[in-house]
Amino acid sequence: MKVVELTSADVEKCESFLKSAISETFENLIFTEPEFEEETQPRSGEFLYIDMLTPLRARLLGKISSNLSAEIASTVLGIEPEHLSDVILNDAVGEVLNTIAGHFLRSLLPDGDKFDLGLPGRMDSSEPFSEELVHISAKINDEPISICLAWSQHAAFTEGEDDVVDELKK
Amino acid sequence: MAKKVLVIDDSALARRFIRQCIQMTFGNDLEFLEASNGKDGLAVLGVNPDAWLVFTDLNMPLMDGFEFVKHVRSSGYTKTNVVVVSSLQNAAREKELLQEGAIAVMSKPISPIKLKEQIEPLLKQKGIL
Repeated sequence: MKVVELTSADVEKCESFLKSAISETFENLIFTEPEFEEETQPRSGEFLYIDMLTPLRARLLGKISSNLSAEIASTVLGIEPEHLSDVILNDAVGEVLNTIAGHFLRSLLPDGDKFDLGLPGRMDSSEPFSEELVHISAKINDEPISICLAWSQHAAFTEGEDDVVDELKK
Repeated sequence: MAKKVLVIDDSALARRFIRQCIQMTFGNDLEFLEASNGKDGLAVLGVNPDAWLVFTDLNMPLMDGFEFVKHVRSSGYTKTNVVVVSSLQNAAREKELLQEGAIAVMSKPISPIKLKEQIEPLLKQKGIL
């Protein structure tokens, strides 16, 4: 495992990549751009997460209002929100996180590099987890979303991925 | 007789969406089969070896799409065309999947237009459409 001390510039870069990934995801899914907020909302309640496994070890956490989940699923499937099951609504949040993680890693990694994601899971905000690196709050059609990127104390990369570190430091 | 299409994804939302896109592209004379992971997908394929087309997600529990593609190839389902649909799009992974026998790798979200442009010509080339 290669451990890298991140500078504030690195963190800013991650934040910028993550915002672009969030925008791209929602534009593709529901043709709407998020309005990012200056002040981040405190974490509370249950979050869905997806772990980034290789080459970067990190966790992406997301919370999306039920109204927005319904809007996403309704737009994707072309059916009325009242006909959507809870399973479908939960899956919608998982799909959103998965897509954001994919866009983020494609921005971060050198072209052609492979990466792996874990499966969606749930955790309560009171559960301890790695240091929060970037926390983004936004509104989409007036519905709040909260997306966090959490790394361990330092960014951890799997062995042999020096080019990823170089890319981040560019 | 309706042609069988197997859709494998751990997300019910994604399965439903992929079904809709396939129907809009290839018509209604299709019988859809579903599975939520590669392992169940193989079981479904085992009793439906005549499945014409399989759309599988990459990142799934129990057996991922990559393992599924390898198993399909090694199990001798020569008439089954596997398309991998994933948000983890990158060139290196795509190359591996094609080498293992997938006919195409598509990035999420798919759409009828993407199916028309990417999959229809491949199926025509194989003389299936």
